[in-house]
Amino acid sequence: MTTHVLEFADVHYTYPGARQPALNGVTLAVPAGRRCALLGRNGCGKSTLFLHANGIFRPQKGQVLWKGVPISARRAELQALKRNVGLVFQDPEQQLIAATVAEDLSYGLCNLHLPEEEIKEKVRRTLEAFGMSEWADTPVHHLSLGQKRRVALAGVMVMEPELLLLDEPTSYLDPWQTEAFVRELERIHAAGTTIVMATHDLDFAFAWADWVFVMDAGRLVLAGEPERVFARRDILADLRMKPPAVLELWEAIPGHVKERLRRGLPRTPGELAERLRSL
Amino acid sequence: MIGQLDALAYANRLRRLSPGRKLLFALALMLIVLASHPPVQLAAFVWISVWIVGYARIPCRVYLVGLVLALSFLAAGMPALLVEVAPVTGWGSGANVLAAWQWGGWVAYVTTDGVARAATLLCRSLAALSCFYFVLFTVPFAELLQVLRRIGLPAVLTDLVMIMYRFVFVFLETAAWLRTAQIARGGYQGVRAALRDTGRLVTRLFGRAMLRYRQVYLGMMARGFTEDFRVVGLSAHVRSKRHEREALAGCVLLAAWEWWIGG
Repeated sequence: MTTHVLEFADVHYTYPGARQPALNGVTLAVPAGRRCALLGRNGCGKSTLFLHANGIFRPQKGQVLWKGVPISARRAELQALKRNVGLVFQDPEQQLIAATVAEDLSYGLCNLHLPEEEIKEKVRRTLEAFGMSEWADTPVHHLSLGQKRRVALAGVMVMEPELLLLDEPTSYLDPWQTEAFVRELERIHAAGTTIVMATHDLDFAFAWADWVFVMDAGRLVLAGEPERVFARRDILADLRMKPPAVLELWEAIPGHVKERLRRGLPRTPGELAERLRSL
Repeated sequence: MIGQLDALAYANRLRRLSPGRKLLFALALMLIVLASHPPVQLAAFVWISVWIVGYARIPCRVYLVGLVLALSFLAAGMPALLVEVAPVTGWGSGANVLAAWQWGGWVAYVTTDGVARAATLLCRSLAALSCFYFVLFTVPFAELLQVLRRIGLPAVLTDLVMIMYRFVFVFLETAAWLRTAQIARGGYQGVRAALRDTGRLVTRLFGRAMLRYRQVYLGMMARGFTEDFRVVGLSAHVRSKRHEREALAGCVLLAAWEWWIGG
């Protein structure tokens, strides 16, 4: 049986002064231990959803549940939620606050009022895990965008959250930086953290995710295993979402050839090429 | 300039020395030069310049530009110190006049006293300024903040300064981007257009700043901000016996010299 870490039940939210609601009755459940991709056009409510997940915004209607328990407005509970749900914003400048890398990593821990020695120990361990020990005393503004993204991620992971939310973490990164970032995510996921990543890159989502959400106009449109979600071409076409390249290639392969290839959909063009070569 | 200063402070050779000790040294020297005579002040200036350029390896050019920049303010005030103006009848009585110019019923003149006063001020400024630059160039800002926190400056002040420091650079970067975009579209041609474009830049920058403020607020909330703002640094500092000995000996020597001159 799959358990859900986080659930949204008919959540509505309209920004003050906005005509359209940002969330228009979204109902969505994040399965524990998965790598989830959250797809949708700009303005479909992804970022607003994340801000609800972290307890920063409160639903105007509906409920957000953490492990089946509705999130109350009690401060201690909200603070606990912020520890359990780590949120990495698209723009790292938005969440890097302190002057140096080590100080920034300590920020969330200081908000938990942990003893100083414990904070230092956790910061040291996280710096090491992310391979950024030599940056400890570097001022944040001396780093590149890719480095800032990794520091922002480290600043969230130092809190050891159970659920990690990433808002378009690979935008503006070069392939090399993206690869390093994804490797970091693999390590985090392997350690037992559930991940939800908002992205526009369908090829990446298909290759990386094992669960996919599609949102549009503040609602959930599709959810499920990538194979099943991407099989709904009609709905995706309405949202102007092109299927992943590997799927298009796969479908162009004649049936009798497909039978001779190994079973199951290939996830990347590279994997497909590999299978074709082994024929 | 700010960016360069900051980069130097993080890369200088004295970086690993305890910021508290460096501050203490600069403060002690500052007190000595403020209370002493020009020869001692000049000696202190030369000595601290050796620390800045020699030990900390701050490029000579940067240090000189810094000095000239600050002293240009002093130069702007020089005429007021040097030149005295009086009516033609009975001017300059009892003073050693070096030069004088007459305009109708008024005379402008320079006295040896005036020159001496200006020279004293110059020596004092130069020495005090170099002490200040020693801190600026060798103590990274984040470490300066840690010292301020340790000596008990109110948290609200250190928090504000820290956020300001962090966002000065975000702000400068945004401004640079906006300016580049304006130039790319043919802005800043001629004085009039340059003024207008600068005005637009400031307006846009203000809008961006407000947006940034809202974003950062969300970012802080997401990281569990409650009411106080606290961070812990990891930086480990080393003690250098050699530098400590020189600092102490130098200060004692200067103080003794001053006592000998003054006494």
